[in-house]
Amino acid sequence: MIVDRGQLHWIYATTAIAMASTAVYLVYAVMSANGPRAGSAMGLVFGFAGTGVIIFECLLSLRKKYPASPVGRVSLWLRAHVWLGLLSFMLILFHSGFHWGRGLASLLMWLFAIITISGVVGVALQNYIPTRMMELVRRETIYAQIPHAIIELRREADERTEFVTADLGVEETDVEFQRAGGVKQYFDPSQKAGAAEKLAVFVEQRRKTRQIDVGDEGAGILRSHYLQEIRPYLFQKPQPLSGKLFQTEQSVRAYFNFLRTIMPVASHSVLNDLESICEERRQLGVQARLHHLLHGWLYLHVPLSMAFLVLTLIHAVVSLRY
Amino acid sequence: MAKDAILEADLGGIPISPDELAAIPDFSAIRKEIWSKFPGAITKKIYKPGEIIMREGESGTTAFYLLSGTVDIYINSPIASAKSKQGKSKSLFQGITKITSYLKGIPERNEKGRAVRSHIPIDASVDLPMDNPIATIGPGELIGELAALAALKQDRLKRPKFYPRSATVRAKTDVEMLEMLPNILNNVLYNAPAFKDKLNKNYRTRALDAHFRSVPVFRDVSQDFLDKLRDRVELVDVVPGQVICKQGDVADAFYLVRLGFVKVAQDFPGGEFVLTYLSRGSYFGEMGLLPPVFRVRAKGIEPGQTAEGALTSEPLTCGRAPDGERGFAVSWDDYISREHFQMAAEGRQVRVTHLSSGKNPILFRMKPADRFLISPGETFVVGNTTFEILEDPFLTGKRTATCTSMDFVQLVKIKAGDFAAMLAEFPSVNASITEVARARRQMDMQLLNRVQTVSLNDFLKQELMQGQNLLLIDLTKCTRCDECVKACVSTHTDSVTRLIRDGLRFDKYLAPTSCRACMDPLCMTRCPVGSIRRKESLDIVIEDWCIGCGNCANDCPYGNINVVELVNQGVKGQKAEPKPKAVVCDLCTEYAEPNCVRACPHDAALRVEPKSFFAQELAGLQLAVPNLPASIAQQAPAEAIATPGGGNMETRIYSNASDLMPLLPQLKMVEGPRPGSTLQLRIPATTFGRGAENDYRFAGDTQLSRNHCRIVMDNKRFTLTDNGSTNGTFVNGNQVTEIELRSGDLIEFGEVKLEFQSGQIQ
Repeated sequence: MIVDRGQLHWIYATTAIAMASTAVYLVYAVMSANGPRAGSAMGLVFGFAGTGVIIFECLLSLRKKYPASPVGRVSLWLRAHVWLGLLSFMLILFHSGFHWGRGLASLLMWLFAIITISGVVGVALQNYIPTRMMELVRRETIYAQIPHAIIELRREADERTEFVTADLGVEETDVEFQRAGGVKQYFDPSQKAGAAEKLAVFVEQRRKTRQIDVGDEGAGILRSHYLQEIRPYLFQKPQPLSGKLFQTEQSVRAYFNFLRTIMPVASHSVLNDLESICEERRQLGVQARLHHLLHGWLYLHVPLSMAFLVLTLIHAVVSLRY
Repeated sequence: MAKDAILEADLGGIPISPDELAAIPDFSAIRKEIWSKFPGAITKKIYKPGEIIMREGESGTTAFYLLSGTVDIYINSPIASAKSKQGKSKSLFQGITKITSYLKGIPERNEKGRAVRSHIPIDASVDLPMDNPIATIGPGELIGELAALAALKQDRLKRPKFYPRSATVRAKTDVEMLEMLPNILNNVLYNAPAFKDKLNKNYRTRALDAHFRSVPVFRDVSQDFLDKLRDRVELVDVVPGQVICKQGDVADAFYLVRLGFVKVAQDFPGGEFVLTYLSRGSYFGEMGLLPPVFRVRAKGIEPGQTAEGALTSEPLTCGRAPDGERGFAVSWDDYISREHFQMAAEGRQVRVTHLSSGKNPILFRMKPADRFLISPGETFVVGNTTFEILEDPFLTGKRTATCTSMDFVQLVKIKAGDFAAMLAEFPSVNASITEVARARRQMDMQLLNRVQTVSLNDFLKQELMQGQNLLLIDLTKCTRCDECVKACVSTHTDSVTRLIRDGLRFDKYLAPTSCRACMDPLCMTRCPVGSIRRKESLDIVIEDWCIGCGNCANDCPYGNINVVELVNQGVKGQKAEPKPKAVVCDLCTEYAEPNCVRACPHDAALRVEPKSFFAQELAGLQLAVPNLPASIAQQAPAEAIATPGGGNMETRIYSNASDLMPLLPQLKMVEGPRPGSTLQLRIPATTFGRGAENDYRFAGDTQLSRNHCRIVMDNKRFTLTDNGSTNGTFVNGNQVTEIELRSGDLIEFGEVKLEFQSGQIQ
């Protein structure tokens, strides 16, 4: 959720409710002989109000499950989730009279604090990371497709390098690349087999002889650099040395500039392609990191919220019963 | 190339000599010598009962001529359904179900806009009934005519087309068939008038009735009338690319498509808009032949005293409080009687008749008149009210669209007189066609409203502008949570998403792969069973009888149609086996808005009409590029267009939006936050400063004023103006208040240093 001018109404409304609640609390705190207590009438009112908001907060996931529901857009629910969530923490503090409590009550307060903080961190990340990702990752793909994309990059890099070096001696296992949303069936199996045969002939020819002749020395240089430094980078988990070599856009460029100075001009088109492939692999790594950052907080926020809801209900029943 | 390949094909079967061919009665009129020019291009095949002759979805470019025996033609999978989820109405707790359905947002089943076809068109002389898609044909019939003809190299279309078999054909009895290559069909059989006449005669006597009745609006036409029509209709052959009728021409006939595809397009200020591609069983030309629809507008002397109504050939009673359904009330005027006069369309005019109950006179052309004909645009006065007759906005009597054949097309032409007679004789046909025409008129009106926007360049037309309804994702807001994709999955019963969050990027927007409802929907050009179509709302839908051949998926330039395996559901007695079916985004037409947009928690997903949306971003820039970089030129297919000045400018069509970005005016960050990044300049002005209201805000730069400076584009000139800032603005080291920028200028303000790049915009 982007916190921008569009949120002003929510900010005003939340602030107004918070101020009204604070005023009520102050009156109640001053007038109570024993000070504010959770078990007092006003404490229970705050408790019920806070619990009601918490239950509403948990309905967000249900709302997401039915996207066409007429009860407001999901974005509206998310706004309500964020702003009322902040408000609910304050209501629960008023309910407890700013006491952290003991046992279950204390656990609930800790959980609630962690949930609220993780939520705030999440909103902050959502405001910062999408823009960063757009700027840093120009070749973004669907997150789940990153492993497939890396395999394809590796295969493409092998193929391009073999134009200079002939057979590299590496065999990529055949991976079926399947588009999300279905498979396009343009060919019957016999046609597909025919296409595979033609491809096999082409691959054999490429591996047998060098398509770009840069001499034995040039081919040897590229082979060693490719196998020791470039190819190890084109894996899901790159080798540390390669990872350091291609850490930034500048370092990728510098590495290939160096190769271009020591390699014959004829091989530069291959080097350019390899640079592009490494840069794309680097960007995919950045994307994965940012993606984890963008969604990692949810692994804390959501399970704790569910646990919190259950414990809150237990707390309510136990407190009212006994 | 394709023609040569076909000529060399080995058909197998029993070779048949010219003498044997000449002995076949239907071929007797063809000279023997002609057959010897095409050795091996026609062979005889014999099938036993139950043997499959061809299967639906298989590729094939030959035609079959049935010599003896009968065959069954059927399609396997008309029931592979991929509809949006629907609520169940039968339940013990109907009330609760209704409430939960409402909360879940499950729409009521809406039949409006759904297919109205009763038959599935196939590549044979018969159509298959929707409820039981099977038919039997006998000797003298051709199968696979369309597939064979389309595979011929078509000079006017540059390349051949390949259609998959539209149905499965199985021998019912012992069958003898002739399998032939397309050149036999086109060069030998069609060139023999006797054979062609026989085919046409067969069609008139055996297939015309069924074909006519397979079109729902003609279902009620009597046998007598069809018998009368049988010899009056003209069977027309049209070559690929030929214009059948042109928008604005006088309408003289109605057409029923017998074979092939017809493109229906309208001219608009922004270019040609393809309304649809018609296949076998579709019809066109009715709009221009229908009786005119007029409107009457009444206007009183006080503000707000207006009323408007439709006028047809049925009399419309007008008065202060007319009785009955056919009444037009003018309640504000006390000088008008309860029922004062009647109006009815008569030819191209409207007849007005003064009723005896109307007390005050009707003034027409300044004189009292009791019965008169009035033309559109004219007015008459009763009491204090003026009545104006308005003309039909779509020029009834003229063609409202241009129809062009896509390949070898065969049409059934019904002359205007016969068509009028049919409408007069069968009111139900008249009503159905009028309803279809009304829907088409409505679509035309919608189009007119949509397309009258700014004219952008060819690049934009070809890329994002191609869409009528584009899904965009704002990447600065999108958290990649995929709620849009999940919403798409949960919307459809097959649990297959139509939306893939990947695709073309334009500035901060991503245009994911979801249907764009293109201006020219190429996906509709090769469907062998006519299951893909454009709805009245302009959206593309794929009907349930799709055979999953993948032609539409192949033809979609944006890869937005996928073929998926669906399992038959809810059909008793049928084994649940997966069937291929093409799926495409239906824009959630059954819902209030697309669910992907509704489900986005961050308001990042938008459905926009691209022309108006991007017009704000690009403000009608003309992208004439004088000297294109070689790297881009290689990627871009170009269409050289002569410029009025005779220069060497050319308008290029780009395959990728990112290619456009370097051509637009921008600033490159030399020093400051994120060096190396580019800031796209906005048209006509871009503002810079520390304040939030600026286009580019540098909040952390304390040396900047809140509104520091601006760059304004005016008639291809870019002017930088300092807004009276505290610390000043510098260009190439000199402090400036206002200066015209040139490409390469270094702009400095605060801690920021930017290089101006004017791009290549004219």
